[in-house]
Amino acid sequence: MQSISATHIITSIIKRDIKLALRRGSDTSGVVFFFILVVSLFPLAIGSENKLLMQIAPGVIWVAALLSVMLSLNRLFNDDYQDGVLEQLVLSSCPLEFIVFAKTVAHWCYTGLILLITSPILALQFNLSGESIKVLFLALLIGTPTLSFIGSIGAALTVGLKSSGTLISLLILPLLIPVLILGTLAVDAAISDLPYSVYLYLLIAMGVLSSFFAPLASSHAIRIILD
Amino acid sequence: MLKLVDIACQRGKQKLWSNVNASIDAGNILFVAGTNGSGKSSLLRIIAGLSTPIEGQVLWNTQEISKHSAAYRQEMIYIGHQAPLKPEFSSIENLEALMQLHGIQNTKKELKTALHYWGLNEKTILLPSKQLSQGQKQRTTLAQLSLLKKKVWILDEPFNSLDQIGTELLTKILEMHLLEKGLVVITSHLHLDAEQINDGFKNISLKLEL
Repeated sequence: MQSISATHIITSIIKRDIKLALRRGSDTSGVVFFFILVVSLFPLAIGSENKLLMQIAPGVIWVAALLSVMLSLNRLFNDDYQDGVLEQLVLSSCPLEFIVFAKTVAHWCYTGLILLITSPILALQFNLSGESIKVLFLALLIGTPTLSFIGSIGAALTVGLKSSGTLISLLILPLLIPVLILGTLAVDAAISDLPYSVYLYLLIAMGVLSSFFAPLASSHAIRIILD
Repeated sequence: MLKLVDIACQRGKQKLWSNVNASIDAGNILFVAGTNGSGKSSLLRIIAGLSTPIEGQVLWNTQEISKHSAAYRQEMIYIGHQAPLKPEFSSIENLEALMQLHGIQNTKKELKTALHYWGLNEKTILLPSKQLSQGQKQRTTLAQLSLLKKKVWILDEPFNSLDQIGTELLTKILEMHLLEKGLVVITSHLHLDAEQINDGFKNISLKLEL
């Protein structure tokens, strides 16, 4: 028996949630297959006109990533609420804000990170050049954690609701528009050989801000809902 | 010492109860009795600091718990009427995760010993919790009590779904905790049985009718 610090509790929660998602399987695979299908539908529906595909590629991939992450958000806190674990998280010796941070990081690992890995392959369907694929990858790497963090607020606000999925999308999608715009702009700029780094910096700024403020807001919402 | 001062509870717009006072010293057990829906669980959630009372205060060592929640949580364990277990995890994984939330890392051997003490055998502790019976889930949750050194135990219907042997184990560990100057707040609609099982409780138990 050994006392452990808050940092250790955080890492153990991240590990626990990833292990849980892998064991369930449906969480991660559902998100990935949805992402792959939605992205692949566009070339099929629009036809193989190279220029048009290249133009819509950044938007399509970003919108698909956004929707896939939305799809998985309703389980972020709701499962823990249903089986009573959420109460134990609130009563933990580690502050709830850190725990929410840990759970969101884990959520990114089993959703955003996997999307990220599949995205270069999907981008090939749209005839993107190597350089643009690299930028798309970078933009997703920086942008997807923000999706998880801002999304966690929606997940926390809808804990315990039956049809939380729809409500989360309605609450959160408008907030994610800036990420979507910056993410697509970065890739668009890369496609037309323009400087793109400014968009990536802005995405980093959003990521830093959301990783700080979102856990505060989410844990406040959880405390109120459990009260 | 845990003290409830004039607390009141409201559910929706309806006031459930008010002016509840109690003082629980080290080595005492508080039985909260009441009919279904009388707000026993609400009282326990308030004492655990999960809900805030609409009136009054809960004091731990003369300090209000909401203002010193970190210090209070270090010394308190709350077990609700639902076993907080992940259905995909085995008993041993679930227990390890619960203990980590309390800031304690146990070795596999310690976890196993605790679960064996609660009557879960080698095979059972490796099964996913969704395959366990209610009683086995409850035993897994209660195994925290043998591993943790917390002063205040807040137990909501802990005897629920436990069989005779489980009830005896829990009674025994409650007695030991009280001997070691711990505090217990407990609800149980079997409270009469619990008192009958052990006369020792009678001398140190307080009762609160809601």
